[in-house]
Amino acid sequence: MKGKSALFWLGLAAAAGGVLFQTSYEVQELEDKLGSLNRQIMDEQEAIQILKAEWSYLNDPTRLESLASQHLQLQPTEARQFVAMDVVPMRPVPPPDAPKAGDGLKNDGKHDGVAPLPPMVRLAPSAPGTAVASGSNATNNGGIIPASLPSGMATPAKPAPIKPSTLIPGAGKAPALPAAKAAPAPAPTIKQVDVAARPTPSQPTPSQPMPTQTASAPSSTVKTLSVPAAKQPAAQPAAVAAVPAPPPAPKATDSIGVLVARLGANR
Amino acid sequence: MNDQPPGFDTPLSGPPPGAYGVPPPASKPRTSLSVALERSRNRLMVTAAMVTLVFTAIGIKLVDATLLSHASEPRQRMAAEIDAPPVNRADIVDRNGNLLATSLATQSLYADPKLISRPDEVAKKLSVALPELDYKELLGKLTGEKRFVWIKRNLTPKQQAAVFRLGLPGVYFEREERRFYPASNLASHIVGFTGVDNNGLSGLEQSMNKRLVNEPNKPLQLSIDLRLQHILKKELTATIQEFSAIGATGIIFDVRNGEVLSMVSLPDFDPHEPPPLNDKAGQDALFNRATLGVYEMGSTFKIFNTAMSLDSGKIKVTDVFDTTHNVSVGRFTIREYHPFHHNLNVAEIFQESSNLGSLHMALTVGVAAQKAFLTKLGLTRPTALELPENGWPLVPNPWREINTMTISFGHGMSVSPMHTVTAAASTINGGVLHPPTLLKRDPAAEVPGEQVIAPQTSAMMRRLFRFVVTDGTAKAANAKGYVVGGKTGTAEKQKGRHYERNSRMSSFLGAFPMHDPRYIVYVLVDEPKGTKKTYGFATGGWVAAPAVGRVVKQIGPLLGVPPVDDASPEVINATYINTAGQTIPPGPPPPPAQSKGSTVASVPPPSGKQR
Repeated sequence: MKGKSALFWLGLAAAAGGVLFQTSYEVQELEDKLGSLNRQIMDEQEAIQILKAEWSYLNDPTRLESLASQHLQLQPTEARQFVAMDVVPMRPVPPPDAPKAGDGLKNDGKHDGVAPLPPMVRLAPSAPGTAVASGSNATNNGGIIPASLPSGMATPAKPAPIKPSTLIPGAGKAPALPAAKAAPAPAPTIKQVDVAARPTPSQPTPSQPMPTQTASAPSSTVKTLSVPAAKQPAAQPAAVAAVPAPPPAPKATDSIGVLVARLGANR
Repeated sequence: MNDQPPGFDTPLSGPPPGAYGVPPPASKPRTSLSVALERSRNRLMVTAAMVTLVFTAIGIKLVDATLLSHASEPRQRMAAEIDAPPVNRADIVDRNGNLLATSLATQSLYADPKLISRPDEVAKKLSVALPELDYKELLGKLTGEKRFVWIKRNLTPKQQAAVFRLGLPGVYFEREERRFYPASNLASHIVGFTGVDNNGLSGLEQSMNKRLVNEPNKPLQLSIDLRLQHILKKELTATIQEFSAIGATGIIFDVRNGEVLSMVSLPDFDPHEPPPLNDKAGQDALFNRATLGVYEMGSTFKIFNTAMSLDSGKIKVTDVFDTTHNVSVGRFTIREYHPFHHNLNVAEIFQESSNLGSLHMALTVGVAAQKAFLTKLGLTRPTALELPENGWPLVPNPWREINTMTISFGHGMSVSPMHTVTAAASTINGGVLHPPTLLKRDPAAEVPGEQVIAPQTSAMMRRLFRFVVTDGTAKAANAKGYVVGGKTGTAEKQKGRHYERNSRMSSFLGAFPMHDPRYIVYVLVDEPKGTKKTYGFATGGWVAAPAVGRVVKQIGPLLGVPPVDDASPEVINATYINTAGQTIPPGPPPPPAQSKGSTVASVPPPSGKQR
């Protein structure tokens, strides 16, 4: 009896010792892990600090200005490019019997008879500092205003010379009209080309891939293939062709037309 | 007893039991044996007591250490704090959060020469890995008697890797911090720089040293806007080049709360490698002309003279003063820059910047009143700016009549550009003097300020400011759409005992928009030389005013100032004054000449009617 109880206690003590050692080793291991994690955190924090410093260094206004003058064709904003918010008319509702431009185009709801708003009208009151005077965006992007506006300020791939003729407000809409009858596909591609020369809006329509993509991998739409070779010449006739046949503009857009023409007049 | 070994039987059981208990008869020979026994027993007792004491103490301490005070060992590993920066000095950021100064952890290389067995080899390897080290100098360091020598401080990670790869014994790294200024020269006079041990030596790094060290988690936010700083510096640099000036300074100031949005002093310096103090160019670069430099401001002081005169109630804006007769005091003769052939009223005196007219205005108000007024505007003490480089104005003592005369047109008293801007802000913002600050004000807190002139006087000063730009000496400062107003100033510099005709301080203090002033743009150019384009003139109107106009054009959009039509009725009504001193515009101003553009009335027409 005596021996048994002694054995029991001995076993208990041994088990406790074993558990203790086990736990102690586990704790030690965890603490080592914690230590290495702490070191890692410190390293990351230091890296963040360095990256922050580098970010500010790269954002040095002097450097940005020289980069902007090298790669952009934008000029500092002038006072005449700002208009008050109440001057801008509401976006006109498309007439119900608008010409169905989107027969062959699938997501063409945005090409409906909506006159383009000049981008600076939207940008001016909220972000004057970043409201770059990109008058040609209005025509290039057609009616895709909300989506393309932010991307207009992204870093552009290639600056295109700003053509005064593209500043006529009806130009953005015009290509859709002849396109509806003759060939559904070319109209958007021409537009896409012009857009590609500018900052590309980041919403490629699934049915029509961007010209740059088609150039590398020829896809099913054969008509788009010939376009990328001559980007500028292709875009120019489109804009010119648009001028003679301006759409029947709603009355509300008329003042905007005057406004846009004047804003871009002195360029 | 019965199981005792038999061998012991005999000696122990010799005497009967209890025989020892009975002390032997107290006979003489108490024997040396019993004495020794007694002594050894005592010794045993003492030893036992000592041992018990010690073991008790150990036991108590053991219980205390294991159970009571700290139940376990102190933990060696604590989780790292999430937001704690890895550095010990707070960042400095501009008002938009762009970094102006930050601390980076770097590694510094040091050596213990005692542990280096072959110094020549180590020196050779190190000078290959770090080519900027000199082999001979390094060898000298490594063979010295010291136990610690710095080899190179603040290595780049690449350099550190290169040294690591050498695997040299006796060469160690130590983690240090280094101050880094991403904007480098752009804000060097404001932010300042630190020494090798990260103690601020100039600028805000010096004056805010305690704050930066005590709260390393919270970045110090300044009122400075880096973009404005860049624009101002660009235009000042262009002006310096155009007019071959020796220096320039500029300030952009928020008149509503006293925030300094931009402050540039050229030439400037690179805070990473501040120029040595013992050389003249270095001193010039370190010198902050905007706050530490005190200059005779010239005609810009007529702002204060006019405000004082109008505020005193003794002078109305239509009062006419003698501007045709030169005034002689002692050996000086006070004359006009361009002589006038008729007497001028107060508006014209301000517009044409007449010295004699200002002088008579000051004399009408009086010497004591002038002193009191300038003191009220804070022009006799250093400004409240947080920089250690804060100049004391040079004030005449005693303040006599001749001083009053010269101070009226800005000579005989020297203040810093920051003084001028702060005081001028109070004359156009409704008469409240806000102390200037470089730290961003809490938008919720009340802005400190003191009413120094009447709001009516301030309203009149706005009209006069605008008048100078529309019809006066500073037409070049106009920026269409931003309704600029201001006052030019040209002071001849005093060299030795007399004034130099051809070394000037040309300045322009511009404010916009004048119908509701928000910002002051001040430009001062040190010793500009006239060019062909300016017909040889180097006055404030030719040198500084165009620079201010260019700056306003660029910063207006950034500051969110809505451009207005200069000819719109509200603007005209708020800023009109004519040469007769009338402030009512003649008839209704012509409506904007737009045939069908009624919806775009707020856009300035392309063909400007204003000059």
